[in-house]
Amino acid sequence: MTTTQRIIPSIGIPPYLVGDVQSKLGYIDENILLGRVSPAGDQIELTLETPVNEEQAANIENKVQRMVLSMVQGAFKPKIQVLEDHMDRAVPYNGDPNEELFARGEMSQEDTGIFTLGPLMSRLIDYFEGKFLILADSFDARPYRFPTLIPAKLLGRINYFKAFPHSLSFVTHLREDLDVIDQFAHSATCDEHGLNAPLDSFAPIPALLSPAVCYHLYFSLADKPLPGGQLTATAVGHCYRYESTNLISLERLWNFSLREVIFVGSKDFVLANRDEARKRMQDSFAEFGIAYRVESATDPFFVGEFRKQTAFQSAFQLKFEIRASLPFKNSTLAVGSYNYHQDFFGRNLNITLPDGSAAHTACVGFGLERMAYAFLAQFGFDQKNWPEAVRKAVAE
Amino acid sequence: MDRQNLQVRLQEMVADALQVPASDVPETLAFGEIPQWDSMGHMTVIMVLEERFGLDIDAGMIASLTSIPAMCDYLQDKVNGS
Repeated sequence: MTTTQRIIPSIGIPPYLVGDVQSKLGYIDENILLGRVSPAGDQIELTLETPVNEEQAANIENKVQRMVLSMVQGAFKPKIQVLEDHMDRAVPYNGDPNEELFARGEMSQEDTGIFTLGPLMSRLIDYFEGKFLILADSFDARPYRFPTLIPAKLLGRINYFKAFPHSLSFVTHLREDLDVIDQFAHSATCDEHGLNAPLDSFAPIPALLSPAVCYHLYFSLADKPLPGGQLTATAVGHCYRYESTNLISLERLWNFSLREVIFVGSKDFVLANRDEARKRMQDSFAEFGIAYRVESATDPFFVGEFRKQTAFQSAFQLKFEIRASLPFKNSTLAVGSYNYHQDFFGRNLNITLPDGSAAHTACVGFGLERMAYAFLAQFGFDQKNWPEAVRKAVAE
Repeated sequence: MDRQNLQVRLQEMVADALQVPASDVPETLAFGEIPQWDSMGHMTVIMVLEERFGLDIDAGMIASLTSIPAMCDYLQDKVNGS
């Protein structure tokens, strides 16, 4: 039986932080099924899986207050810069695509945040990815293939554990010990929460599921001069970010695919190419017919780092998101982003340019499942209503 | 406060914020010139600057206040009301 806990935050949550605070509520306590912040930022409502006693309620409230204070006190109001606005593009559909996707077998849920996709979704994804590959080719990007696993020691070098601890997905294996392996084989069971096995059966965590594509390129370039002083690369990969109660349909997957075009070199080189990539994508997005805008954004840093990191990203305009309209919920969804990391990776991974300075990096990334989902949310399932280019390419 | 004194106060403030010896903070030090003045270091500098000088810095200024001379100019402009 679920129960509700209401909390008045000790400091008002400004409108520009309501969404960010709300997205972190699921990480407060394992008992939280859903967290909402009122639009005015003066009340937080938590839906709890099981009733709590006074002490437990006080403990949850303390954690909520601590988090709110850390994110809100002294926060800098971001200056939103809109680079493109095509939200007025007329689209023919405003239904909720989820029910139809399930009914048609185009989407089936294996578990929270884990979905398989059917033929139509797969063809749409192939179509969009083909367009992103044309973009990559227009920069003569060199193709790479990266693993799904990423070594823990490499993520440690770029301070990932401090910035995004909440979204990590760990990988381990059984300890190399015959008794441990035999014991596991005979006694391991699963319940609704997952696998049951003694924690000491598992080896220390050597790797994680990769949260981004471009990190692998930077790691491959670490601790040496960058040949030729610049590099443009492209790769597609599965990425993993655990998003707790925010894992909703295809909008927010634990496991999703990204096609990236990555630039490494001088500041001028990577910034010019990031901007050029955005300009070149305008024609493609016009062909898709999608209603969207491109605006400044920040990454979902965790509570302790949130205030400083988001303020820095926003002030230096390091990230711009492509936000596609979701008419059925009068909202938008980030389907891609144009990112500049300054010399963060160059410095931390010791990637050097011919003059000895640290390399700068930028990447443009496109979320493939989200692109297909946003398209169906705007154009529906009747292909007669689709833009001609998409209909021809994806014809069943 | 004259510029010379302001500069010295800013050097002390930056050294405190970045937790480095004052001798590591020359009067022209800028973002990125020492490892401690990275992105996180910069935001610490901005927050300590607000605290020490009783300011409420607009987010749009964060990317401009990237050196001691730039902070000096900013503070002098504030004092002069421009």
